[in-house]
Amino acid sequence: MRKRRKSMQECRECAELLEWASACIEGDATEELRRELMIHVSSCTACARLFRSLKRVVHFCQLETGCDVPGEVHERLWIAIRQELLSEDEE
Amino acid sequence: MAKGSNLQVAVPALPVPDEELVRRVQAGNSDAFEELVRRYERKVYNITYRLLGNESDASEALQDTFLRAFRFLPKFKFKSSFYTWLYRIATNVCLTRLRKRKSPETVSLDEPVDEDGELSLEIADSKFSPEQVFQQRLLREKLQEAIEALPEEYRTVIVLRDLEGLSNEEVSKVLKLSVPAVKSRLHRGRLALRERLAQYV
Repeated sequence: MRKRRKSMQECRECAELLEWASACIEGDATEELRRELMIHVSSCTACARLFRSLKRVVHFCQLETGCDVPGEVHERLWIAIRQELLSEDEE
Repeated sequence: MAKGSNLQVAVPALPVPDEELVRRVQAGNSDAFEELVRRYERKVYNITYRLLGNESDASEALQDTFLRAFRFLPKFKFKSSFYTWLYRIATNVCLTRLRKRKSPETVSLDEPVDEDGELSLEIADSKFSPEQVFQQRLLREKLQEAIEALPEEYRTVIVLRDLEGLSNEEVSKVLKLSVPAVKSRLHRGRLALRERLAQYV
């Protein structure tokens, strides 16, 4: 984590919040930093919106369970693998 | 328990560890390789699909990945886990394909995702109404589009870390990056993703 250089109340255009927001989502932020961030977002609409939407995007990505391999793709894969195994046996 | 009791307890067989299967493949057992394919086929397909963005390319990359894995398994030295090694092959296969595309799709991160869309979705709520199911499906499509529009150095990290659930340490091994570099790319990738999806979440 980058060393904090100034208080959140002083940060210009909330640039530092961007760094801290990801650290908070990762669980890398200290309790003090988390508390400061919460205080800041409670009084800064732009940062509150950014933090909330960033969290939602990350959460949505993490909820994505992916898809099953389509039947045709699965078939093609196994044909290729069996051919490879057969050619290996013949050598 | 009484001496000589015939009581037998069925203990489910533990799955054979990946490393043991790799050793069996190296000893010439092709059944062991088939078991490894069964274990990782879905995961590798999801990585290739996320990185390449369509079924046809993802299917070819899936085959390439396992065929390369089979050819190179005799040289596998157990310096990493099998799956991080396999995911590295999959990622490299996809990156090679992306670089070979004659006219890569480059979409500005500032471009609006959909001018018609004005959706608000509570992702954390698991009890979806039909409308929310529709919105979630739409958001999923937009997510894939947004991932495809990311520069590849962000795309690989987002796919492996946030979508496939690898730890920062595992991603660093797959991509041969330091953990701080992974975190930095992850952070910037998430911001870029958020920018494209902001109107939906």
